[in-house]
Amino acid sequence: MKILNGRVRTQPLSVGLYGLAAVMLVALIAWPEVAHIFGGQRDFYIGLVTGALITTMLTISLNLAMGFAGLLSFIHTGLLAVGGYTVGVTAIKYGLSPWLSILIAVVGVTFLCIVISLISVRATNIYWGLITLSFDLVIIQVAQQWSSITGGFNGLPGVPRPSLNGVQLDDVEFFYLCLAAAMITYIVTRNIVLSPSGRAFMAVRQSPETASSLGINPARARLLAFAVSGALAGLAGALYAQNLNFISAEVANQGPQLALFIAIFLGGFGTLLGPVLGMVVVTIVQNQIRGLGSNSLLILGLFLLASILILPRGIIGTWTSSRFFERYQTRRRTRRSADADAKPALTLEVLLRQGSDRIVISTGTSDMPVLSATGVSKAFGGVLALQHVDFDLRPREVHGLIGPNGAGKSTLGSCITGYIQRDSGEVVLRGEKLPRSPHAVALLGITRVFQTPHLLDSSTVIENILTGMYSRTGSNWLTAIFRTPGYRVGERERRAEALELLRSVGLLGLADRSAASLSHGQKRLVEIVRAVAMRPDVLILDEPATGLAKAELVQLDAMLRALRDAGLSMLLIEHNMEFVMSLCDRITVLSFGQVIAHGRPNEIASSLVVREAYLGGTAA
Amino acid sequence: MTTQVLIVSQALYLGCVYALLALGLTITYSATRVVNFAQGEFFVLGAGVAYYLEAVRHQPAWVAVLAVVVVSMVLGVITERAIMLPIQRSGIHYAWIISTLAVALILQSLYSKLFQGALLRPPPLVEGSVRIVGAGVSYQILLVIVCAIAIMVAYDQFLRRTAYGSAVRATAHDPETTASFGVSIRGVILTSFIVSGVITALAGLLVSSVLFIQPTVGLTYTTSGFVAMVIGGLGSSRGAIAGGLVVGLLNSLVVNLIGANLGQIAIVCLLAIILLIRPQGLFSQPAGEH
Repeated sequence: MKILNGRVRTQPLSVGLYGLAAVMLVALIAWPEVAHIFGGQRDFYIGLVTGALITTMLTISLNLAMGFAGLLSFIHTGLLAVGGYTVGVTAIKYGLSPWLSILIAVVGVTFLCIVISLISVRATNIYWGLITLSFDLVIIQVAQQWSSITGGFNGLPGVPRPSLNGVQLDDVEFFYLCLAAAMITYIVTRNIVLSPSGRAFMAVRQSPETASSLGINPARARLLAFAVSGALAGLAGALYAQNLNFISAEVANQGPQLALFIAIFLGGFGTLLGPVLGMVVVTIVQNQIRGLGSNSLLILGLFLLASILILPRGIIGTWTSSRFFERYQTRRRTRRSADADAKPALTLEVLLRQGSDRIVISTGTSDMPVLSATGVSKAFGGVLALQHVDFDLRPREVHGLIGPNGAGKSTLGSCITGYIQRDSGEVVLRGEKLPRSPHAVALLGITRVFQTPHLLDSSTVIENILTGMYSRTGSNWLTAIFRTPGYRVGERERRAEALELLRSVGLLGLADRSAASLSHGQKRLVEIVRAVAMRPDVLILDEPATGLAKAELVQLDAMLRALRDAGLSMLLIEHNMEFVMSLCDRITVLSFGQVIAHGRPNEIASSLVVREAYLGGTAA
Repeated sequence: MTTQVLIVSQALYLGCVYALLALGLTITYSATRVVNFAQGEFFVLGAGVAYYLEAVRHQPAWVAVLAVVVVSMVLGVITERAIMLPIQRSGIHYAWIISTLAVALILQSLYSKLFQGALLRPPPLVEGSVRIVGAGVSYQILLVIVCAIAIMVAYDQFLRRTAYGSAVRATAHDPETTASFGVSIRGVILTSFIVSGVITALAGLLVSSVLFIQPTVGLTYTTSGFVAMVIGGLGSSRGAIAGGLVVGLLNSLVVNLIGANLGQIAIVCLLAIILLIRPQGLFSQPAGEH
């Protein structure tokens, strides 16, 4: 597919911040020269910035885990220590080249992070924090007790720096090595955050449930985020030990970790440049209050409280919610909505089928069901939510699932998509038995739109749609890190396709809006578009019409009809009878967990059994 | 026999200290879903006020107890604002880390200035010791155990028997629904900070004549209480008490029987194992995501 829309959006951040970043970079490159103005203190100031660069790398790594993937980590200074010890032990005890030992440190810390992710696979939020905290304490204890290797409480002195042409790097050369490493850290983080994998991280952070419905495996996304974060932390740790020629367990304490948290929150939680800016401020403040003794802690604490009160969302967060940024966004939006009137270049049908190997099959004989459920039962304690429910979904049909409240409609939807494990019964998609986990079901081609809006609120509309395309690319993180030509073409095409999808349903004007700012009705429609972007075979909609205004209802109706014409099969759980009757091809009625009727809308409308189920009265 | 008695009494009293710390953390955690890193500062406060009044000013013990209660209530009110206001303004999920750590740092540096690094060790509330099966156990240690149990039982009953206790438990479960019943969530949160502050400060007062408490150790005790809280089960007050006892017992057994340096490692290993096998804690029902 060619680029449909000339302009391709690349960054949510504005030009101003990039200008600032460029100035910072130039200042850093010139720093060893600039530092001459400090006269005799030049070496100190070069060392100060070298240290700050290393801490910045660690902060970026922590922000990747915490700000983007939502993994509360208290172990990052511990990872720094592990990286430092690895580089020290391999170089001193085993006499390896410091270059090689940096590599070993990176691999070792990555491995440690993979192990931690694997054993805490079920944990989230605060528990992830606790597990990392306990591992951090283990690292400190091991380092202090295992004196024969780590030097115990005294630490490990004499960690050598790498050498070039047989001469160890001097302070200035080492400074440039750290600057290069810091840039690599930033670029790797940026590339992965802006890639499908990065969108998966953010989806998992905001709602593992939503992520699963889009075919993202939350455990795998967390593993990848933590492993990459670990690799970067290992690199920082290796340089940390080489910079000081020394490593001890002290650094793994929670005190040093605090500086990282401060930098992230001050700069902007979950933003790319935030931790860098934050670290600049923290370094300056720390340098100012150095030598004030116990007053320095007091000032640091007060500074922290003041900064979080004045800049509750950090420097970048406050900037993006400011008037200036808003004006910039509005201009961009107006341009976009001017485009919105143009006729779509491709029809919805083409968009849905393009390159899909699946959907073509479903257009075969129209009576072969796409999805069929037989004898599905589910009990919650003593309540039989579903009793031997059978139903099937034919290709290109909208199948209504109705019934009084508590009839088990949503439970059936959850049983099919793997969110609830059924007690018995079988669900088959085109002859293939469905797997158990929600993300695997989604990957097979069945997705759901939840009863309440499940958009990723801190992302924009177009990012939401792009997240929906995750299942088609998978986690191409390695190509994303290096931004290979193929990867870049793919990203451009996906973006263009997302815009085209939005345009085809008349929502292009919303593309750059943050999902949180949409109305309830817009959220529902965008969520359907996001599900469609997966190119599923089957879409399960749970009460999409609830809470929609009249005009939005018309829009929804048109959208679902268009999707059906494009070849999608849909299961529609709904209470709005008028809507169901006019849209659905067939209807199944559930009451108290049992199928009491199924047939065409007119048959259902005239059915006595159905009326009784809804209105009560004596059973026939 | 003598040694066993000493180990058991030490295990019990250490367990009580950890249990009170964990209980304090649990009280604020239940109301706010915030792990208060400044909790240990109340512990130091209790020790510091007692040290100042008894050892420096030579006041009787009851004055010290009264002063600790009053001062910790005031500090509870202040820290509630200092911690909760930034969290509410920020809206970022992990803002609590910053605000509670900032408060911990501020208090720690204030203590350092006030006490100039002194060992906060007031004379024991009760002098002397009693012989139990041939071993001398000081009255202070027995007093710590008795008082700790009394505080734990009193809080447990408060939670289960009073209307206010129901409000606290309901808030822990679902603040929004509770607010719709006319319960002031703000009030519950404020009370939880005051109550947890008083309990932790009393714990500091009680053990300061036995333990070595310095002005800067607050965070260390927070971490210990934190570990005990997690082992018992996040957000459950009975779990916190049980977790504290387990940690105290394990620590003193390992230190006395295996090696003085291995106490911490043993506790951390237990924590890791429990988090892996039973992440909801030993004594808590499986809960949803926090």
